[in-house]
Parts: sequence; structure tokens; C-alpha cells
Amino acid sequence: MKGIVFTEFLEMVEEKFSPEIVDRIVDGAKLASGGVYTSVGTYDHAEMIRLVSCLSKETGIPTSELMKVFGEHLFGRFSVLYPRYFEGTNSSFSFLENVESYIHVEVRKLYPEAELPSFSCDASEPGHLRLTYQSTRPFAPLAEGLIRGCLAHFGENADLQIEDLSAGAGTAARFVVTQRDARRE
Amino acid sequence: MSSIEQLERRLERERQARKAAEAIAEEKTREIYDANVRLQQLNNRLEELVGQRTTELAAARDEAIRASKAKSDFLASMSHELRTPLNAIIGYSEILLEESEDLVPSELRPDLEKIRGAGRNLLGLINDILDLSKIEAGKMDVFLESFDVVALLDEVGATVEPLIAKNGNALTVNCEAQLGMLRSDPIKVRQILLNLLSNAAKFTTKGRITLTARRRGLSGGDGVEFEVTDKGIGMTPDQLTGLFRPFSQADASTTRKYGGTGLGLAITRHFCRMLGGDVTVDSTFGEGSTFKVTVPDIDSDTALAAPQPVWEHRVVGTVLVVEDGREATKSLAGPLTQEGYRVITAGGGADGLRLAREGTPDAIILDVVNPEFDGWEILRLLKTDTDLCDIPVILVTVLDDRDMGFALGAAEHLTKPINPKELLRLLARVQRPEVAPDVLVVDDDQSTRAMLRRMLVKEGWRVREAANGAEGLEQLARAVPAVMLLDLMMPEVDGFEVLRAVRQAAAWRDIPVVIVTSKDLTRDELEWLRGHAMDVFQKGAYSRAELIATVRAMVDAARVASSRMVPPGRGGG
Amino acid sequence: MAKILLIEDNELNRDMLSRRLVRHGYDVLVAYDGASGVEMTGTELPDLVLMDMSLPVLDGWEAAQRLKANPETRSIPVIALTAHAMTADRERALAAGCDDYDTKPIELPRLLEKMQRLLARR
Repeated sequence: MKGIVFTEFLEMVEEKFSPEIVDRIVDGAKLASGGVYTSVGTYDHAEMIRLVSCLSKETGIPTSELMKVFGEHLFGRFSVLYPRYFEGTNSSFSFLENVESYIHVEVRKLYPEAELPSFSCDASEPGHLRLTYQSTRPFAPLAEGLIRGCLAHFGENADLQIEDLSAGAGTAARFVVTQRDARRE
Repeated sequence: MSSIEQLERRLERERQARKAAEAIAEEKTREIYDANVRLQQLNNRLEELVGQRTTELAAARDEAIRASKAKSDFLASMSHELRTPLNAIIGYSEILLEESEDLVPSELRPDLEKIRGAGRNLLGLINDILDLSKIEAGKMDVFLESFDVVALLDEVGATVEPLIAKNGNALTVNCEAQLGMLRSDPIKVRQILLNLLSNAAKFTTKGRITLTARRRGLSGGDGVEFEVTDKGIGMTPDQLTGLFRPFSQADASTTRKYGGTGLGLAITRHFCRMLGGDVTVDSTFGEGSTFKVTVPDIDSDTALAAPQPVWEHRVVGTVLVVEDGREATKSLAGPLTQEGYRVITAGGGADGLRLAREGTPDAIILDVVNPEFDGWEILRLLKTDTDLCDIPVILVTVLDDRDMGFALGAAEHLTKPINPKELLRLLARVQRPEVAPDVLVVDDDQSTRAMLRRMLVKEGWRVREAANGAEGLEQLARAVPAVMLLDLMMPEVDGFEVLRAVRQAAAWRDIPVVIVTSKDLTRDELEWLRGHAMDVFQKGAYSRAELIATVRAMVDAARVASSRMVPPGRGGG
Repeated sequence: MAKILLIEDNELNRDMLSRRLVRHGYDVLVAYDGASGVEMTGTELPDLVLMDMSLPVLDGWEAAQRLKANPETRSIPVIALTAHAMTADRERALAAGCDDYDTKPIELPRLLEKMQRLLARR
């Protein structure tokens, strides 16, 4: 998992909770990296799972909920850090359609070793976008948070339905985004 | 205390993270450097490969050009070699036939006739191949003459009569009474008609073949349209395509049944186009074919067609005009054809490039005035094509563009509206050296003129004559010669006056003038002449070799000057 | 009987044409190159000269010029014999002073007609 996810996660924890909490979960998670992250490095995704579960213990908030919140936060940071991926997109649909076909392609060019989830996309039905998340890692809630962050970024009113395709494992899910206007028709 | 420890731990994490980031940055930098080195090596190798490939291609191209030239030369010399023994076969069979009454048993006559017929047939094929190889090598010349069309038709009719009769056909010749004289190449027109008629005779049995001739207004001026119609086997649309291409008879079975190489029609079309006309065909399968040939009057001004020494009948050159406006093209064609140029016109870029290749023009006049018509691109393509880049291009532009034209390789430059005299002057200047340079002889003594003419013609130069100073100036106005030989003592306008006029006119200032005189010159006169003429020869006091050497040096110098791509100094005239 | 000088270096051509001309009642002399052709014209003064253009020693054009430059031989008509398609050769032949030309292979009736026309003029 890319270092940017870890550094952004710890910054969010520090900001939304406190530096003490950061210190505690880094200490409590017993991390191989010792909690030393740089955004350009790559780290074991299991460390993220441990950090989230430690945070859940500290705060009493379910891990899935924490991941969704983090996903929303992360999307906002993406828009600040990587504006070039936003050029030419003016809606959540156009952005989300690009994730697999453009953004992941570009990321692979820069980081050939990156293991990215598959994020296939079906826009055949007007006003609806079906996104299917598939990964070897249980980050479906993070994906959901990112999608919500995306909708918020473009200021759109849309419904999001989530269908778990991995029997609770969080490694596969289908997200259906429906524009509010389209629904009314 | 714990918060200090916390901060220390955090600081330590940040420090470690920074070091990790620095290590990653360094590693990436090294990777980028290595990648650059590899790219550079690849690039060098690529340049090397491209260079190598370019050399190979250039060598292949040179080889192809050599091979093509070798092919043409081989065909020409081979045809020549084949003809010599063939002439003997035909000649001796004819002698035997002539003498057969008393010497050869009469039952041998049909066999002798077959030998002679086969020999003539073979000779015709060899001649076709020779013609085609000459056309392809650009060595086929056009010789203009005014000739009586009806007389030519009679002669053609008489020549093909036996061929027509062979398949039980009959020939009808329809022509208007007032066909009059046509200025073109009669030998080529004759061959065109013979080709079409023998073709018609070959593919028709017991039918009528019609040869019609009528005066017509053609696109290139006035001219004659010939039509050969037969009621033969005709052709399908498929067979019609590629009909005029060499080595493409309608199909292989045709060759087996009717014989021939399929060269006749290809030659016919080449000839028609060389004469400024064209040939078209209209045919229905099973019903017959009509070939239509147009031959324009190359010089409709009959005053100029007055008897002239034959070597002046030569076409002085071929000019390709590439333009989109028909009107301006017409106005260019007039003065050019009057001066003996053959003019071909192209309606656009693609056409222009094709005609530049096929028509082997001596010069190209290219209009880049119209913005919708990309003359610059055509100029660039002409100058980057190894076959075409030697053809001088005269650019017709608006004033500001001349530097760009010269930069792209144009030889000369004209602005609209075009002054025909200026155009002719530039053309004479850019003419390719293959065209014999002309020498203007101005002398009132007829025998001196004749003597000089013989001498100059022998050197392969074209000669124009003027019998006095006034005529000399007229000749200069028609076209600028490579060299002028000038007598001094002439009635009315003498040589001094001519020389003075020449040196004062911007268009003539650079003409080398050689004085050939029998006048006893004073010191002052000699001084003045030395300042205004290139050389002075006193009649009776010079050798023929000296004069020839002097003129040759001037002709060569003029050639070098005209091939240089430098805009000429252009004064007020 | 008209006296014809045939200047031709090719043996077969010379043999054929001279035999056929003799059959048509001409008195035929032959020369093998341009120089001897010019010389024989001066000594024999034939009624007409038939001359190939590509000749050894002295080519046909040079020979024609010499014949036409000499007052003694100037009036003797000269017919140039040139190869097919060599149009430039014909023009050069006329320029060199030849009175007419004909192309090889010889078509005898056509050549005879040209010869008769020139002989009648004399």
C-alpha cells in the first residue's frame, strides 16, 4: 500500500482526534515499520488494518465506519495533491469512470510494483453508474468513503447503494451511484 | 513527561521518515540517470541505424536509376542491333521477289512473301520498343512543321490500304475540304493515325473502318480532330481501363489471337500528349470502337510559319504551368507556344506533380498567388524529389513572397500581372542546358551570315539571323540569345547603335556580344567596343577555331549563370 | 543512264541497294566511307549521291558539307539515308546540305520516286 495512504491516515487521526491517539495506535499496533511512513514509500497493507483496528479500540467507532470517514478525507486530499487527475472532469461520473482506465494506469506507470484493486465501471444506464470493487484486501469501506468523497467534491446530490459481494470480508462490493434528478424521472 | 516522550517519539518517526524519503529519492534519481543513459545509447544507435539505412536507400535509388538508364540504353542499342540483320532479311526477300519472275520458281513466292511479312512485322515491333524506350528516356523530340492535313490523310490511307484489305475490311476517309495546314509534327501524327488504323484493321473482319478529320476549336487553341471508328469486336469497360498503358493488351488471350505487344496505343497516347493533344476511346463490346485524337495547331500564327531553316522548327522546350485559374493559364500559353514552347497545364498540385514527372518539362511555372491552392507545398515537393528537383521553377507570387520562394529553391520569380516578355526572358534564362543555346547573328551580308550559321550549327547551337540592326533588335525582343554575333557596318541602324541599345536595356545588358567586322577600326572605336562588347574579331584576321572557342566560352558561362539559383538583377526595363 | 554513287559501309545494305538499283537501270558506283565518297564524287561526278549518315573516316554530315562547299560537286543532289526514329539525324542531314532523305529500311518505290524527282530537276 502506498505511503501516502498511511501519512494521510495519521494526519487525519491527529487532526480529528489528537496526537496522543496517533502515538498510542502506532505503539499499540506493533508495526514492522515502527510507524515511520513517507508518502513515496510502499508498506504492508496489514499495517493499515492494524492501525484502523487500534483506532477503533481507542475510539469505540467501528472499523468500517472509520475507513469510510478516512476514504472521504483521503479523496479531498487527492484533489489537492493531484489536480492533474481532475483536469477535464466536471462530474463524479466522469471522474469515477476514469479511475480504472486512466488514474490506475498512470499510477502503475509511476509505481510498477503497486497492487491496485480492480474498479470496473458500467455506465450503460443513463443516470446510473455501477462500480464493482474487487481486491485481495478488505478495503471496500475505504472505497465507499472515496466514492462519497468524490460526490462531495463535485457537490452532487446522488444516492449510493452498496452491495457486499464478499460475504462481509470487504474484498468485493458493488456500488450503484444514482443521480437524484435521474431518479425523479 | 509523557507528552515530551510522545513528541520525541514523533520526532524520531519524522526523522526516520525523512531519511527513508531521501533514500527513495536518491534511488529514484539513480534510476532516472540510468534510464537516461540507456535512452541516450539507444538514441545514438538509432541515429546510426537511420544513417546507415539512408545510405543504403540512397545507394538503392542510385542503383535503380542506373538500372533504369541501362535498360533504356540497352533497349535502344539492342533495337538498333536487331534491325540491321532484319533489314537484310526483308531486303533480300524483296530482292528475291523482284527477281522471282526469272529466277525463283513461282511456287516459292508465297513463302518469300511470308518471310518478308514476318520480317516487317518484327521490324514494327522493334520500332515500337525503340520508340517507347526513347519516350521513357525523355529522348523523343518533337519537330514542328506546317503540313497539308489532306495530303497526310491520303498518304496514310494509301499506306494502310493493304492492311485494311487483309481482313476483308474497307476504309472510308471523311474530311472537310478546308482542313488546310496544321503546324505540328507530321511524322508523329502519321504514326498516331497508322497505329489506330492498323489496330482497327486487326480487330475488325469484313467491316468498315472510318477515318474522319475535322477542324476544331480545342482547349489549347485551334486544331484538328481525327476519329477512327471500326465495327470490330469492341471492348468491355474492364478492357478499356489501362488500354493506353504499355504491355497491357486487353488480355492475354487477345495477344494470342491477334498478336502484337500492346505498345502501339501507349506510344499513340505519348505522341498525342507530346503534341499538346490527347487520345480518348469510346467502345461497346461486340459493336466496335471509336478512337478520337486531338492535335492542336502549335503555332496558329501563320506569319511565323513562313519557310525557316529546319533546325529552327525544333520545339525549344516544354513548359508546365501549374495553376488553378484557367484564364491566366491561357494568357501564358499564347506567347509561349508562339515562341515554340510546348505548354502543358495542370489544374492542381497532384496533377502538377504527375505532369512534372510524365511531361519532363524544361521549366515549371508555378502559381502560388491563390491561398487555397498550396503552391508552396508543391514547390517543396518538387524540390525534394530527386527526379524533379533539377527542373527550374518560375514562381508567380505576390511581391513579399520572393525570398521564401528562393529559399525553397525557385529559380526565378514573377509577379502578377505577368508580362509575357519578362516571362520569356526568364524562361530562356532557366532553360535546362539540354536545349541547344541559340546564337543571334546580325550581319547585312548574306554569305557571311550563311558561313557563320554553318559554323555554329555544326557546334550544335541554334542560330537566328538578322539582316540589319533593326531586325537584330526585333530578334532580341523576341527572345534573349545566349550570344550575339554583331557586324558593325550595316544600313540604317548600325552595329554601334545596336550595341548601345543592348547595353542600355536591363533585359539585354548581360548578353555577351561578339563583334565580327571588316571595318578598319580607329583607336577610339576599338577602345569603345572593348568596353561594350566581349570580343572583337576582324574579318579575315581570325581563325574559325578562335571564334568558336570564344562563343563556346560565352555559351558555357551563360549556362552556368542560368543554372545558378540567384535572382537576376532586374532594372527598370 | 543515270550514274548513282552509293556511299554505305554496311556490306549487306550496299549489296542489296546496288543490286536493286542496277535492276532498275541505274549505273551504280559504290564507296565504303565518307572520305572516299567525297573523293569519288569529285572524280566521277555522278548524277546523284545516296549516302548513309553514320560512316567511318568521315561521317555523312561532314561529307555532305564538303560536297556542298565544293563548287564542282555542289549541284549534285544528295539523298541522306537515316535510320528509323532518328528524326534528329534527318534534320541534321538537311542542315548539312542534303537535298532529301529517306529512312532505312529502304522502301524501294519511295526511294525511286525521290531519286527521279531530283534527277529530273537537273
